[in-house]
Amino acid sequence: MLKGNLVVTNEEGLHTRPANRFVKEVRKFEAQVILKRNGKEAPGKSLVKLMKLGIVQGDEVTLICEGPDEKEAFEALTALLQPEGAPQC
Amino acid sequence: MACFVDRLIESKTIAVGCSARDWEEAIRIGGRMMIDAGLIDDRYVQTMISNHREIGPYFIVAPGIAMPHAKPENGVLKTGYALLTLSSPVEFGDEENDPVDVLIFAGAANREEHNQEAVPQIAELCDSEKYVHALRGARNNDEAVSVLQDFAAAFEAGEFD
Repeated sequence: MLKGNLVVTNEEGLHTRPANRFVKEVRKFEAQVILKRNGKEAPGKSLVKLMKLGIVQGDEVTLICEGPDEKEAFEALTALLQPEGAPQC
Repeated sequence: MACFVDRLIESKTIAVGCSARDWEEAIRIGGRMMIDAGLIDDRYVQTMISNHREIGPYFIVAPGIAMPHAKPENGVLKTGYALLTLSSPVEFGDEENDPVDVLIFAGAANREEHNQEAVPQIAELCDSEKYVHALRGARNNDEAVSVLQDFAAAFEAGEFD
């Protein structure tokens, strides 16, 4: 299982359109994906449940991927949440 | 939560059991309600339509449910919503979630309101089979309002936490 905290730098956060892209990406992998924010979690496959998390740019989230291709899934999904790479400290 | 339901009821932008030929007409009907209520201008309606043509059905959020919207700068005058249910569902081109018979339109005046009010609150409603089912069964606007008020009360009471 791969688990990591990351700051969402995508300017659109994770509302409808980016959430849609996220879900489509999740579907490409076998790994089970969970996204957590502020103590709430949502399965990566459910658009409405992801939208309910209300993730905006600047939020810190925890991404969990578990399965045979968890590494590829983790990288691909991180890239969607941080399109320009990780924020500079 | 009060916000989304309150605004919807106050603006009277609710219509149930309408008929629309296709997805474009459905968007125009909802858009017209919002224009008449002073929430958006015609540009916003045009943008929702052209976005769908160019980007595809990105705002279909659950089986049978669409959340048409665009960006604040596309013509929102005041944050507001509209609810439209169709007597016959229409295809939006989303294989998994078509056909659509419930449309919850959203127009947020700024990104904060869109991300913090509109999106999570509407998502909460869309994720609740009980309330979506009740909305689909509403035979007139008063019944729809009643369902929305029940939903808002349940949310306030923390039933969805």
